[in-house]
Amino acid sequence: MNKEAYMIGLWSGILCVLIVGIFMKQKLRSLKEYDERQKIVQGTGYKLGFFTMMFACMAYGSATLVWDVPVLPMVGTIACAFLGVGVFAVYCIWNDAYFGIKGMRNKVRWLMIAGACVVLNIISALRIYAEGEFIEDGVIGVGAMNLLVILLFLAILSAILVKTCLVRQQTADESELD
Amino acid sequence: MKNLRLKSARAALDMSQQQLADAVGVSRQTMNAIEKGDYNPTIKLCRSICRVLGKTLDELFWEEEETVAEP
Repeated sequence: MNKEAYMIGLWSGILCVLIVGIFMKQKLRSLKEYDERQKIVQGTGYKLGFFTMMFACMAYGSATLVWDVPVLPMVGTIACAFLGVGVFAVYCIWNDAYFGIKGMRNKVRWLMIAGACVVLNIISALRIYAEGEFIEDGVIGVGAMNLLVILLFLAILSAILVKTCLVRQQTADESELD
Repeated sequence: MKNLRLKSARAALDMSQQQLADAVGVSRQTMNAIEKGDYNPTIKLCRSICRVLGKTLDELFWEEEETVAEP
């Protein structure tokens, strides 16, 4: 795999998202308002995600010091960051602070975007695996990034599904009590 | 502690949690948490709720003092 081309593509994508985000900031803000309770929950979520990422980075760094970890440093670092992001997302979903005040409308749009993201990354991951670029020189290379994205989104989607089922069950139980 | 007075006031106006939440600009889950006593709203939110339900702060949010038996 041409690593320079991969990095240029990756950072170009990040830059595009940032630029689009800056231009659409006003529109995005109106669609994704959070109330005071949700902001408090998100604050706690950020803290948990941050410390999870810190601990994961320390664990990864310690492991590379002691053992010969067959993972590219960039992939290991990104995995630690994704772990922190996942903890934040799951905590907020569990405490109804992920989708904002306009919950249902945001949830549908998010699920569509997440679904498209997972599908595109699965296609890319399969291509990388088929071309034998997943492991290079005995080390898990940048080809694993797509897998990390898939795992992150699947974890978040699972949390949404479990929470939705739980809420439905609670609503049904409360209706029976009434 | 559950806020039954809030729930009663809302029911008296035949409003659902979602309708009250929309009226004061919060999510339904936040309104549910306030009624269940899991979240203490800010004074600003309390005032918004009182305005929508036509009640005072004392009527909806002031904790009733426990009566102490005199010796």
